[in-house]
Amino acid sequence: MDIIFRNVVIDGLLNDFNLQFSSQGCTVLYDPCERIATTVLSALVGVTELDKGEILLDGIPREEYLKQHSLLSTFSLVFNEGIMLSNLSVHENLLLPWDKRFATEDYSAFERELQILMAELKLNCGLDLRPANLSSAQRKFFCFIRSLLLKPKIMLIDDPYYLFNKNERKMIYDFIVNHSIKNTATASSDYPNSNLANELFLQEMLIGSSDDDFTGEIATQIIDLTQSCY
Amino acid sequence: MFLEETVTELLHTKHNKHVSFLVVIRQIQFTGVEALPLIGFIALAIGCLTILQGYAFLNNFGQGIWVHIILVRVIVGELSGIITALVVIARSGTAISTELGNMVVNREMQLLKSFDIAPMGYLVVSRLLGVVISLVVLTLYFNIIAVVGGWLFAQFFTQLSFSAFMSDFLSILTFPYILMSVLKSIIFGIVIAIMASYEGMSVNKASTEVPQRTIKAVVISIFTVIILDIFITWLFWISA
Repeated sequence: MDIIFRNVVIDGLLNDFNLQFSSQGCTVLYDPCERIATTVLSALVGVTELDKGEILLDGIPREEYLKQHSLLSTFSLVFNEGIMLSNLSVHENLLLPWDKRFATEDYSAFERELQILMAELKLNCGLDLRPANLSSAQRKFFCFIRSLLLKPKIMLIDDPYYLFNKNERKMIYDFIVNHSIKNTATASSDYPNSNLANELFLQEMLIGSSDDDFTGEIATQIIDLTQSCY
Repeated sequence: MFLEETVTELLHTKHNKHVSFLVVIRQIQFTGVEALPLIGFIALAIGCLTILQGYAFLNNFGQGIWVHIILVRVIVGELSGIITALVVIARSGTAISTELGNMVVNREMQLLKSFDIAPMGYLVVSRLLGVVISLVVLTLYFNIIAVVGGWLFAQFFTQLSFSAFMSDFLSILTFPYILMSVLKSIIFGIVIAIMASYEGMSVNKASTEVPQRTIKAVVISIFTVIILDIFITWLFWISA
């Protein structure tokens, strides 16, 4: 997907900001100040409103594009803070967007995929718990799962390492690498159901990070936002 | 603008049904079902006290038997609606405002937007429906408990059979009283849900704003409910 930010102004965050890139595989927005990438990802899903300027997706204004393609089928954002709805259980949190995205599909597919992804991240907590009963790292793991279950065209990940300790960072790094399209051929055999495994790989990822880890093996391309920071 | 957005989302409730149904049910559970013991206790006390005071007063004129007129006028017409509304403000108004305020602080509104779910439809309209349905049912429940409790208490003073008591009571309870009671509970429910949601959603970023907004929601709701109660009663009075 071709993504263009043209003369974008967002009060206090972006000032006449321009960015143009073609999202392929895993694109890393390297942002040492951890502000620009977060704003770019938030603006793509419509969480942050633009004061001026426009965002073009494949040459079409974002709003027009999302009238033709649903938001959930296009983007799914993993917030840096691992946000979940406090009024719902973990299971209901995972099901809410899935139900909206795949309203007519078989619910058992959701359960199967959820079990696979939970096993992969070694999550064995009760799904009937409220998010407040989980650690912040567990919540963020579930947010990765929630986004992946939606099978968006582009999965947006804001600051993947935030809230994680050293071991958890390793786990989430492996998780992202395992689900990137580059690894489809090698990793799909690890899954009990290869058809299902193929569905759990992402064509495109857009990662906002200040961490050098994500500019190494995993990235298909790196967009350096250092100059926009200062 | 908030009200306009709520009405717009309310008209699209059918479209949002799959995401808001659970929230409506939980709101009814909290506002309605869990309030039944408290409302029942207050209704029983009010029914007994009204009978006690009414019987003592009317008995001076040898008319103690007519206490059911007071039950209809005072309880069905006035007290059931306003007392139920005050209980709902104290329990659910504060809870809604606090919950929504904390959700704003925790960026949960942004999460909903990222799912392409309108926070107004999912959170506010669901609570509006839940509170209105609960308030109508609670008011009806209040009336039943107060009247039956009142009859039970009246047995201390007079040997009036239940069927005779209810027959007299129902002859006084005309349609306008029922309409007024239902209308008040619907309007009070709308006011409480809108005020609590508006104040909760008005929190910006700081968690210290949450209790401030909750207090404001309670104060404004109480004032608005009382003023509307007077206005609706006046409308029925001049049209009678």
